[in-house]
Amino acid sequence: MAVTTLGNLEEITAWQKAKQLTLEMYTVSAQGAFANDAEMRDQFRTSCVAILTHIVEGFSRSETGEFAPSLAKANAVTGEVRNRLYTAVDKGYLGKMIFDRLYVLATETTRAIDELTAFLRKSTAKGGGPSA
Amino acid sequence: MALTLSSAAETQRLVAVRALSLLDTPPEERFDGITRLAARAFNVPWAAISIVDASRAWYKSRYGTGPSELPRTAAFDNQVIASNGPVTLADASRDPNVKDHPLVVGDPHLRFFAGHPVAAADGHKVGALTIADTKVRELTPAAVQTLRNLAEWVEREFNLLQVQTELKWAKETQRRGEEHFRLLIENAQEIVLVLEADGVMRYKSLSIERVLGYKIHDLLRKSLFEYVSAYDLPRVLTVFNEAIRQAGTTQAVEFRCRHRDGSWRTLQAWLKNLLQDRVVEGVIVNLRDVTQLKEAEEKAKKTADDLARSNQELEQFAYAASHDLQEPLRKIASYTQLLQQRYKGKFDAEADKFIGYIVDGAYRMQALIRDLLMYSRAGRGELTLEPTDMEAVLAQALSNLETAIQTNQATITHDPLPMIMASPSQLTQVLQNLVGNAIKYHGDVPPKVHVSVAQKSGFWQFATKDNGIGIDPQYINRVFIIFQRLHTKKEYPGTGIGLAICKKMVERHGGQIWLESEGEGQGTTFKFTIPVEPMTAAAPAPGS
Repeated sequence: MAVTTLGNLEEITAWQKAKQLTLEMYTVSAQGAFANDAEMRDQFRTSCVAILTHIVEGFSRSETGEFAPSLAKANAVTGEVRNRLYTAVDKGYLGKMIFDRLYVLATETTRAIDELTAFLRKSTAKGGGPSA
Repeated sequence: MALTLSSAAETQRLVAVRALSLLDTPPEERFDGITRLAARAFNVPWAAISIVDASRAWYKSRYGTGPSELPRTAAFDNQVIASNGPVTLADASRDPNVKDHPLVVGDPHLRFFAGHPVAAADGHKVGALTIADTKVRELTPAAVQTLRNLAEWVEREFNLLQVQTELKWAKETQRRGEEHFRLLIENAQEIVLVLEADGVMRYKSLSIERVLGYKIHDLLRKSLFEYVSAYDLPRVLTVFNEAIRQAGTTQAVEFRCRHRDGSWRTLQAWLKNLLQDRVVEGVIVNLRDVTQLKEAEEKAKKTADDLARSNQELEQFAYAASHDLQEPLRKIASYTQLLQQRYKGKFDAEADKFIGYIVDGAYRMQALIRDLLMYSRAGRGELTLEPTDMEAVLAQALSNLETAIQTNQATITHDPLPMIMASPSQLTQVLQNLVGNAIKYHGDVPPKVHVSVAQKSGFWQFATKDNGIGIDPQYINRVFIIFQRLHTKKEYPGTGIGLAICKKMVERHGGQIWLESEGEGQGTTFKFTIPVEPMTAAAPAPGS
């Protein structure tokens, strides 16, 4: 069985990007009109936490090579978050600058997750994990 | 006119005077303005606002020269406060009460006095507004009304002053209260945080430095979530969201938090959403460091797990080994026996002796394996408790021991024994082993054994007392250990398992076993207990 050694979760770029996106989303959704729309705020926050949850769950199963399905789920949720950003702009909750910032972060998160997925696929295809 | 009030009323009046907190305070414009106005309005050289204390009239404000206070008996004010309305005195030199007044006797030789009492908010007349002139005169009704109005003005000032004083006190009390709570929080073992709606720590108590190593200023505008372990972050965020959704509720969560030195601390957190609270406007978080507790818990659990596993393996080994050993041993025993019977005398005497040793050894090994099996069985399987007549149990045990009893001419006596909840087969074994031991380790006289019982609170206590060789107290704890023997097999035969079996069986019933001996040659008493209420934990021991 291919044992993929990934080291520390906190050192994985996908995790770092997702965490940054989440914390910034918390800051943005705690202010102004956004803070008063409890439902919208909750949706955003819950989605961000879901990205993190999927990555953590996948990571804890990475030794048995089951990281990829969790990463796919994480990516799906990140896509949702990116789409929701448009809704937030339409409602006037986000200014152009903050929208751009968050959109870039969400895109970077997606890319980092894709790269991690590709890395995992390559290492299992070779039949052996990369050495740590 | 009455110049003294009844003592009870006067005491209450003095309380009101003290509550004003005006005695011996510096002059104030708010009162000086009134006396100045009064002097001008009545065209008099002297006007004053007094507070009548227990033995003096003290002047808070004076227009015109004069002493700052007068003996109460000499002061006109004392007459005024005894009245409910205005008091006038046309010619003071003829009035016995004020003729000693220094301003009457001396300069400026006042003659005319007029005054109106001034009451505190609670109605007690605490002082007076008085005017005085050097010539004898009268006041018109309109002038009396003016005097009343001025006195009422003084009253309003008094009230205002009292309200201000109380307010000041309230503020001071509040300040002290806040200081009190600040000190409480800063000296608490727990960390207290106030989080903004996005997790930024607005307030953190000083204890954070002790627990997590960070200085308060390291954490300026930082989010708590930045310090939470990645593995716990989703859970912490979810709980935080829950707290935000439900104002006023308290949520609990445990997570690992990064110490400044890079290590991790396990923290227990309680979150309470007070974002709607106008004072706090945040989420209050209490954090307790449970790192050591957790570590100790895990260590204890690991030790217990290891122990259980090792015990289980040991018992399985003992069971399997003794079970599997029985078969080949039986073969050895039966064939050497056959050898002994058929070939006795066909070899030389030496060979007969050797064969005898083999047979003897095989027997002893069989006994050992039998006991070992019983010992490992004692801890296996379900323990079924049923109403058990201990009389019958003892009878069975004695019947099993019949040969030993007859051989040694032993006398066994017993108390009337009760019905208890137990496993009859196990208790038969226990009594059989204890009585058997009592018989085996007898001294020079025939053994006497007495089985007794006593009901204690919550359990039965059984005892077997003998007149045997006794036991050196230093070995008392060793006898229950498996294979521990105090004597050689030549002195007393045995496997060293019997008492270990007793201990295991008694303990499975939730009881205890121990022995008491006065020492060697003094006899031995074994005691064991069985709970009256069967334990719910009569579950199989590990390994079953």
